Amino acid sequence: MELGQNNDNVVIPDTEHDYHGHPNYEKVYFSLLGLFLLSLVVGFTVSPILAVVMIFATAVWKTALVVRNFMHVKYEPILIWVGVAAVIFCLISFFFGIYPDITAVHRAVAQ
Amino acid sequence: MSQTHNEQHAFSLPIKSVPQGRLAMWILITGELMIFGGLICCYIFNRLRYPEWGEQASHTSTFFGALNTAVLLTSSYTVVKAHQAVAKADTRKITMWLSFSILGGLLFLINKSIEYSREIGEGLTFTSPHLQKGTDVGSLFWSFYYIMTGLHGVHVIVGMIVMFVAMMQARKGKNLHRVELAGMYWHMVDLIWIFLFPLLYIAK
Repeated sequence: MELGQNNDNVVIPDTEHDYHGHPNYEKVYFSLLGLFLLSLVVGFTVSPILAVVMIFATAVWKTALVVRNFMHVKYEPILIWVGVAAVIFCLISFFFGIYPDITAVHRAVAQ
Repeated sequence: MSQTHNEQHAFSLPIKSVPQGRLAMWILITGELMIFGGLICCYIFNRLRYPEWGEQASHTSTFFGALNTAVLLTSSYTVVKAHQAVAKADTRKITMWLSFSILGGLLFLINKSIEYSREIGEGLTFTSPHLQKGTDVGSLFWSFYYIMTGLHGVHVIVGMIVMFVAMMQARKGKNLHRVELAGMYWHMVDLIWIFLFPLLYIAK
């Protein structure tokens, strides 16, 4: 018998995996759209450096919204948080570890 | 049912609280994030190294990039609505929402194809001769562009197949938990694009 189905072929709710509530997905979706439009507007209006900072700040904010609400990480046990944090730590380490080797080398040498 | 020693040890770990399928999906997601994170880091290095990449990036279409971003955000919303419908075992709504997500993926791929056609038609490729004169590193930008967006496109295709399989099973009321797993993968695809879009289309 498949999960969600009994012998009379009546579909029953899949409660075993329903480990969390459901936030207001519409609110999250429109927040994401609002942040997306903000990043578009900022990209064409403010100074380049400020635009880059604001655009990536909105990207991080959108990521947090998707990860917490759509992927339901906020309902997951600590193990999942540790896994995600480990990836972020590795990427940050990689970025700042390699950065000097790329940007501090004279261009003629790099090519 | 009695448990073996290994099963008893495994169940004493925090892993027990996460179903196998979801745990496996998270492991997959973290691996994919390492791949794309590494690519994005290398792109940022080179972008800082070669300011002339800004001129190359001006050839990307902000309109199509923005359209694709809106499409993926909307398809993320529809797939999470499908997951919400699983709790009520509403197979009709599950099918409907997953169909919208698959259509979103298809629209994304169509937009990407139009973009690629335009850019390749303008001679903006991996090995464009006119971009490799002297010390010009323009073709290196397009190498990164096609690799990152192309790899992302492959993941979009895989996500569409995964959602289609989950949808066909959910229609029969089978394996409803796979809707969430398919949705998690699709959200990962969306997250990657959330970073690719500003890097390639806005930061010009």
